[in-house]
Amino acid sequence: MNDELTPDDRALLAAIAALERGSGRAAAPAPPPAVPEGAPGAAPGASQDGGDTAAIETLTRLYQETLGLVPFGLEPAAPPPAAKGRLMALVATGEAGAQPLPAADPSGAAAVRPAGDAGASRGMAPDVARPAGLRAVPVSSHSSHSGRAARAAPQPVAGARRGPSRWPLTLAAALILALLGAGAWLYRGLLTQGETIARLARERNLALRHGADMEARLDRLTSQVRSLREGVSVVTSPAVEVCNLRAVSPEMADARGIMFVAADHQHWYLSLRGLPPAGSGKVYQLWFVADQGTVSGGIFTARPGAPAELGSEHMPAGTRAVRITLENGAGAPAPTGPDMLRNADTLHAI
Amino acid sequence: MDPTSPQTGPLAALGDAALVRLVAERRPEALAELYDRFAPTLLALARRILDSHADAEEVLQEVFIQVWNRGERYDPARSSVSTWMVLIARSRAIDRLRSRKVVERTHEASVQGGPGGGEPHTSPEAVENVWIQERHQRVRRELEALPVEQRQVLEMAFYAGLTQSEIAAKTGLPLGTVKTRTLLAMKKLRNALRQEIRQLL
Repeated sequence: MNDELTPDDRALLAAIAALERGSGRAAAPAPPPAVPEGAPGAAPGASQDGGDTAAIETLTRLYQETLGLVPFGLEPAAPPPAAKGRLMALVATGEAGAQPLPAADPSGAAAVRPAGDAGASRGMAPDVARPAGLRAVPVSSHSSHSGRAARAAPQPVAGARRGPSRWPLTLAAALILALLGAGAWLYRGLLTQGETIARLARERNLALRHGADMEARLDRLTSQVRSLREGVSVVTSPAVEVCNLRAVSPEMADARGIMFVAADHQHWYLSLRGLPPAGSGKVYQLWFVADQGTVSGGIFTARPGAPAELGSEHMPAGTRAVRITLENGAGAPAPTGPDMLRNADTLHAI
Repeated sequence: MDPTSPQTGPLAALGDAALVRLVAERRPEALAELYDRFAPTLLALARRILDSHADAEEVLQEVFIQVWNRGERYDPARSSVSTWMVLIARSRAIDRLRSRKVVERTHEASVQGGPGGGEPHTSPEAVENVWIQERHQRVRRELEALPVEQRQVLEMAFYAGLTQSEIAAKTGLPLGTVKTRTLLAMKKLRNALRQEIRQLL
């Protein structure tokens, strides 16, 4: 079967096999012997095999790199901004070295080490067989220095000194009790904190709702103030042009208006008094008769006894006249209803 | 001047291998640069395998901690940094996937070709490195150019961690067909991505 495979196929199969093993690191397979062992001319490590092996190693690397490119076919996903911060904090504090890492290492290094080499996984030198080595050394062979070391570290040479003092056990028990107490205290603290957090969340929601109401009210007031300021600035500006609006319709007999147009012929302010409510489903609509035709200046309603005030920073160029009509619904693109008021004075074309 | 020398220029100008050397010297800024280069790709890979944002982010952190702790073991003669990190991420994600015993569900997502797990959380800023951005475009284009049946077996092997036999069992195809499709897909990819691979070596 293998005889039918080219070096390229064998390299590819090796790369895929490595992928299936999960290591991802493919060891180039030795080429199958072309001649049965023991047959004449079947020298081990013949140059042909050596050439194949080198070729397969190269090809295997190429296929491995090909596999490594596969995820670049995915749409990249931006990690949350905090993720990098957490990682760098772990690295900065040295806690990254304490993170548990499984033995799997696609670099291949893990494959040649015994399992459970946790030290190596943390970037330290691989562990040596320390406990077995210590047990193998007779106590009598220790130098005075090593004897001191043995006393300082009783665990590895526990068999050499009988009847150790009980203080380590006492200390361990005290530590356990302290830990249990601390755990209980922390648990109670967590419960209390949970209640506090829930209460604060409720208060926060209430405050947010109240804040939203206040914000909406503030917006309305700000809008009114802005409108008033605009009106005041227009009517008090030096070269302001004044234009009176008179009722056209008999039912508007009491209605009148006055429009102020600033010197820039852009800012305008219109104050209307005596307008009756427009009626159900009706609105008033302001029109500017200008060079480009009749342009809507907006729709508005009126309340009995209250003035209607309108204003804007934009008046169509060449406005010669101002009209107010009564329109249906949300207004109309061009005047359709009857004229209610018109300007009594001629506006100078801009 | 050696452009990959850690001593020259800002970190962004350094090659991947030079950055890993700096990581081995415990230089956090080099790890941060590697993170900027590869985290979006590795996170996309982990999400594709695990179908879970939270798990994928944990895998991403584990990968970079492993790079931090084992940077000195990286051997440029054995693989490029990109492939090294991709295979670490894949290995960790597959391990986690197997431990969750949800291979079946992820396999289905893989066959359907969707990343799964909600919105992809992509952003134009995800890939800052222009070269890596171009690599994404070229690889995506070549993968899409593969016949569907070949791309399917390749993705099942890579993203779902299935063996050829498992793919045959899942799809009902003869094992020989699965192997042939995988080999064809890989050979086409290798030829199509020759330029990319040359840059990695």
